[in-house]
Amino acid sequence: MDIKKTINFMRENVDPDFDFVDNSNREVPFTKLKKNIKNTKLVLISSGGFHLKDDESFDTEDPYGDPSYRLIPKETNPDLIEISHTHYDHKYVKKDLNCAFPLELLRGLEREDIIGRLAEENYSFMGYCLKTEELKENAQKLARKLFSKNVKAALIAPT
Amino acid sequence: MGLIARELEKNGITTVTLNMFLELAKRVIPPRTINVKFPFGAPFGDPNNKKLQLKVIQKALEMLENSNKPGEINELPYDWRDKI
Repeated sequence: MDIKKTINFMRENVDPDFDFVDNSNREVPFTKLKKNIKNTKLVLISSGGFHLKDDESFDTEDPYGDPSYRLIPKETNPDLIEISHTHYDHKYVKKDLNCAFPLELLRGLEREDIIGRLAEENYSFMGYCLKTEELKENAQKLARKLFSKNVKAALIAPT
Repeated sequence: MGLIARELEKNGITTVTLNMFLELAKRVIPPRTINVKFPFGAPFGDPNNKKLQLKVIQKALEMLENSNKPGEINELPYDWRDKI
């Protein structure tokens, strides 16, 4: 994908003032892991628009996107997960959820003691969100909740 | 996802972010990035290629433990359907 073409497309079709956030002149926030990963609780966070079938779906109609997130318990059967996200092809995750949301593989690594624990509660956002301030606020709330549950590391995957 | 990673990191959580849009990662600058050469929709690799998917996870976990450079990008060499 070409960043300039993407920006032009967004300006023509969604928001004439669109631009990607540019952090190149800002300090990069950085927290070093205190213990090794074998003794750390890890959370999986996706932007695949995943949610439980009986949970509220994401808003795919709003051209500015949906900044909210949904909880997905670690033992969830892939058949109970639905996708509301119109900006990527779902064919790979429909064949194998591990392509984008590898709860099964991470549970295996927990059993093998490669990671300390996989968090009981994992999360999905819906990528493609132009409401960046709301998104940051929600991420902050989520971070505080994770920290209070002793989650110290996050594997974050877009789609 | 870079914005979410940065907010988590500010609040004491160590993050690694997979990425498929390198130019965007260089601009948003997540604290630690694993860049993959896979199509959108499958950041961990092709369906049922468990060994490749586990390799991507392993590289991500290594970066969580070892990276000392804020904003570091690790470009993985693996191709779609690679046999590991």
